[in-house]
Amino acid sequence: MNKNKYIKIGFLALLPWLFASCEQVFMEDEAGDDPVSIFDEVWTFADRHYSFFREKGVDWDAIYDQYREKVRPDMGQVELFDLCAAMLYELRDGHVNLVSSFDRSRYWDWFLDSPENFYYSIVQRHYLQDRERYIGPLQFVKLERDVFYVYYGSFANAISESHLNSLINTLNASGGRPGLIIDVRNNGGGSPDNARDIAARFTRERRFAGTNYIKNGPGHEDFRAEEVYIRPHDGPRFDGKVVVLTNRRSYSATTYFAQYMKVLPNVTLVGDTTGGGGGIPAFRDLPNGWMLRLSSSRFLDPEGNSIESGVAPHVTRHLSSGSIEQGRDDIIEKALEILR
Amino acid sequence: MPEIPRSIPKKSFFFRLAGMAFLFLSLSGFVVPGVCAGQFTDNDGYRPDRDDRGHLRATYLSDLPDKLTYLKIDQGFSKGLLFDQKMSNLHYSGPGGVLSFALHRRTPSHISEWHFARGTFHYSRPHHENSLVYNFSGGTRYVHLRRLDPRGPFRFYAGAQADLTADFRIIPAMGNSFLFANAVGSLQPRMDISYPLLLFNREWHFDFSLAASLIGYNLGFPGYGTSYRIGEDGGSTLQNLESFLTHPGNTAQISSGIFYRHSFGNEYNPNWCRIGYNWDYLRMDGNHDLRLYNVRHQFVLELYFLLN
Repeated sequence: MNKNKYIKIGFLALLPWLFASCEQVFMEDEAGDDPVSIFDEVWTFADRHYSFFREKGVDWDAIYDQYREKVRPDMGQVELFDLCAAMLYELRDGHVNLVSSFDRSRYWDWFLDSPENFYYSIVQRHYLQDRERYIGPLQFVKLERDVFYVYYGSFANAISESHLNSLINTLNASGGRPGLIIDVRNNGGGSPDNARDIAARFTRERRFAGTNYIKNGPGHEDFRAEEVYIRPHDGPRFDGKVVVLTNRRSYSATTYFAQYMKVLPNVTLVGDTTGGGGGIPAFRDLPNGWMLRLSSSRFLDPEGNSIESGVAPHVTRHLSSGSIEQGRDDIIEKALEILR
Repeated sequence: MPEIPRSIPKKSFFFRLAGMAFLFLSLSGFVVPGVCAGQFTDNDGYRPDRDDRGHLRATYLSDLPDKLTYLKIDQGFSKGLLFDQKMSNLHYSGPGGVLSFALHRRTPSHISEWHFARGTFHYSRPHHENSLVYNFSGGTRYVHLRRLDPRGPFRFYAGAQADLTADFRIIPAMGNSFLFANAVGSLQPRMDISYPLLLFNREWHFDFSLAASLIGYNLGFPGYGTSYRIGEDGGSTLQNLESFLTHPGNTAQISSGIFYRHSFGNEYNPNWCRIGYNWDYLRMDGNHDLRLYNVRHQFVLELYFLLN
């Protein structure tokens, strides 16, 4: 084998390596997984994608200065996680989470600082009393003459058209002037599709529900606006009185549901202000395997108020300790009073 | 808003499918009967001609300047490296595959190729292996090249390509940020160089191709916001697409590799193939300086079936 041949074989063997090296020249570097780079990734993603800086009065640049000086190259993962979590906590947002294999950062003050206002055992033992029917994810019962009650525990549980047809047909076939209580207390959210589908059953007209602002650039106020309307469903609808029960743990898609229902003239919201969660969360993969999510849109009601801090009820009502001891739910009782 | 369940085909399914397609298409090249092929020394190909007994015989294109048309099928396995700044600031790498169907026409002075179906896919992970990206792309491309100097060992070609490519990147673990996609149509001046190498008594070719967009139109998911948004009716809906005209040089493509050319079967078979290694590089600028890089190391089998 002559020398030229060796050179050619060597050239062939080295070709993939040569091009792999070229990649480093033609491609930008990825973010590093050292503590400084991770911290910068977390801060930068929030800086460019988070949607509530102005509403919450957060000076994100000042927060960078405050926390960046605490980052050391020799920090351990847990220490770095806790530091980043503390920085993100400044956003005061239940939709902001830093997720690692050993912990998930969170902000839960939106419900921890508020009364519970819901005990499922009271509802189960004193109102449902094992008489309820399960219509898909809905627990449905007739509480008294002409008043029906439905509990929906999670908007993550899909509700179908046939479920809603069944519910509405039962109400419309009951005779008299039926009223309906929709209890979404402790409903932590899920799909807004379910919120839309339910709300559409209780209106005859298209109703303006608010304006959605979607992040469309890296600036803190870069948004695109889109108006949202509740449209009447083509199939069976219910035109009677409806009372929606909420508490602080009615969060995310449940807050959207409360807002959708609030704009309907036949609906009354009773209970406590919902927990909020008015921003659709965006997600980001971080270089060390952590994942970051944070709110990346905002929603304003027809009066221009943000629903991020919650949707206020028409009638505020809390559960008293005396009522709890007697197995009485003051919020359901208020709803019954409205519907009688 | 929670993650919305999506059905992502399992990895093994695509590998099985790609393997079966590779095997089927490879074998099909050997069983197309009834035409002849001879030894060749010119990469520009040959033209079959009938002898006294009605059999086809090979003659060289340099002598016969007629247009030859082939059905060209490219298939192969790849290792991809993906960097999409809309997705994250991470490099994702992993295995994948390539499949392309084209009409390939050539004369001594011109080459034109219409890829009526081009597709690639790969599965990529960042180095921490917590998330997985399914990257699919497909499109069509027309290439027209003119040979500049027909005499020397180097073969220089210059021309242009019109390219339309749609690209989808799906990360199921990223909740509402699970989908990144764009479709780009562009007109790209292109330059190709081919250089023959004699190795193991066989003729190999070192190929290099460079194309950069002159003008184009990009339609895709925006770099900000989420894959889903609250729609006009209050439910969730896919994010609005954004579009923009691309500036010159917005997209750059480099392809380079080494190929061995082989004719199938006996002298009556005019079909041939090329097998080799190819490095494929794509860089594309997006809005807000968010760039996409997609690089693939490909081991490719190119099958050429004569149609005329």
